[in-house]
Amino acid sequence: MAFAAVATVVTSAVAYGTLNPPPSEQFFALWILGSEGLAEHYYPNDDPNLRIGEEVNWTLGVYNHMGSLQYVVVRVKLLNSTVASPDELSGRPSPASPLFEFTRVMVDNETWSLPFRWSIDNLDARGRSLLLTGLAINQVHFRGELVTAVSGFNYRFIFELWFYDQTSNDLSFSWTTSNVKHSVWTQIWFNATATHSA
Amino acid sequence: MGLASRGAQLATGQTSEDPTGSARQAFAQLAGIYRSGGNAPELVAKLNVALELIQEARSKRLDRDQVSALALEEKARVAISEVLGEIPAAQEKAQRESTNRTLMVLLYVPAVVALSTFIFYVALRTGRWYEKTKLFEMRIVEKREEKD
Repeated sequence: MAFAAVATVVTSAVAYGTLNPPPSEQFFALWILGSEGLAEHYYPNDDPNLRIGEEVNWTLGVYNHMGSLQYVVVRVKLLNSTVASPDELSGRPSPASPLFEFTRVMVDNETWSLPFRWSIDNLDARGRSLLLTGLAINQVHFRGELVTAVSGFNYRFIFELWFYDQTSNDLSFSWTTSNVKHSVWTQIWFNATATHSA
Repeated sequence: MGLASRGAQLATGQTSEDPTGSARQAFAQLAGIYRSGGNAPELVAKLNVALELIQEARSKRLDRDQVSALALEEKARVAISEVLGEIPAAQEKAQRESTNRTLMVLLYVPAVVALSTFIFYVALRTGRWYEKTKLFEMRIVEKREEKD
């Protein structure tokens, strides 16, 4: 009888441990796909030298593997090559202000696909540089002195993944697991030419 | 980048009437439900609709269409209020389900383990009984061999 009782307790503990394994590694993933939903054909005719009015069609993807419900914000920043990128080691985002953002509440293991269609509306020449003064993202038009690049080379979009941190009651760009800081961002480069698309 | 910053503030900044704060409050409560083992997919979907409306309102504001922006924000606010109103019932349901799950683990697992232990015990006894029978058979054979 005593044997049966001890066996029951021990085996129950083992069964419980097996049924409730420790949580797996927590992470977010963020990616960009080209016009056909693959990691290719990012630009019309595969030419990253974009003309005014030429529409670029991407799909952004976000995957939540944090093991919990997450309030996710994808911040879109438009930069040139001189503005700093996000720093993964310190978990600092790029200092540039976001131009646009997408927000969604995601359950664990959910993948979120969002269309990102954009085109250059206007460019102004400033000496040797080209100043991007008009941009359309998903039919929303942005006007102003957005970003300059020498000869129109090396503009880039940076996509940063932020999430709502309930402890700090604010959006956060990085999180820590096993004493290691993690952050998720991706970027894609393009050049601009001050001619209009046909 | 000066004007870009201004544009960005317009695109992502919150006005005093921006319902983002209450959306985050609703999220925090929903996250609590999921943490306790429950789920509320219909409320998450409704909150996502509200977040899309907020995004749309910001786009309208960028196009200087204040009237549409305000209307969209009002719609978002209503959707978030509905979510917040349905959260207590979802919390209660999650609590109930969590209690049921704990009871299942506390009762069901030991019961199954006790049953399997009993089956193992019976099998062991049967095995021993079978071995003993075999042993007796062997002794009988031995005795017969001695007689021979």
